[in-house]
Amino acid sequence: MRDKRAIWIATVLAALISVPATYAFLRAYEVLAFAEPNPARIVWTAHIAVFWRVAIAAYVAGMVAPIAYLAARRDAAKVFRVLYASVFIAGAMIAIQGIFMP
Amino acid sequence: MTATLLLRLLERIHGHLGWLAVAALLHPAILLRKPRRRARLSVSLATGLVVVTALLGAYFYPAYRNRIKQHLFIEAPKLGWMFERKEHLAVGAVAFALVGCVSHLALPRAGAAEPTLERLAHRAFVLAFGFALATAVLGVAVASYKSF
Repeated sequence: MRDKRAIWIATVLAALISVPATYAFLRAYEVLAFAEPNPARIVWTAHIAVFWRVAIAAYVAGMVAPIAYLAARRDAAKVFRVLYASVFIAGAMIAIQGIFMP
Repeated sequence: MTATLLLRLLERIHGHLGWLAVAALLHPAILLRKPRRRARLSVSLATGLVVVTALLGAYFYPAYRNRIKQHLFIEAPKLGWMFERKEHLAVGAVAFALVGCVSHLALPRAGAAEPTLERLAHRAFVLAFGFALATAVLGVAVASYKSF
């Protein structure tokens, strides 16, 4: 019973940690790959980029969850070790993107 | 109450809640340094405060885009880009607060993974605090220049 719970905990955490990583990746990709219009010239747009990125990140989290579940079913301890390292990586990603690629 | 007045009020509430969230996040970031320490109430309240603040900000964000964003970028582009930075770092603050909260509340059910989860929760709250602090500072810088 305990192991099954640990698998679900790993699944939820993997999905949550993937959100800031995906968000940072999406924004960095936008900044590096596209020439964006000057915000001072834009009066209004229907597309709210920050909401869109959060929605895409939530979608990716939904895809990460079953992969994490399967991995945790095989070796939950290893998945938790990977998640522990991932927190630092995801934090670094969104910090670097947030500061240098606004 | 006019729409502008309501937005101004919500913005002030958002700002104050943001700083309260920063203070609240500092608590688990310090407490959870000790691996065996349990602080469910502190963790839950801090995360709840962060989430409520973020939802409130998201509620009037479209109004910011309609009324302020363009003017901010015309008059003070550096502050405009600061606000963009604030958005990104706020996403990090919310995400890592949730990661820390789930990790900490799940500890009794984690079995053998408990020591790893304890460290994970602490690290997540330290990150959430750092992001929330940066978000709050940038928010004050922008709001002191231009508001609804």
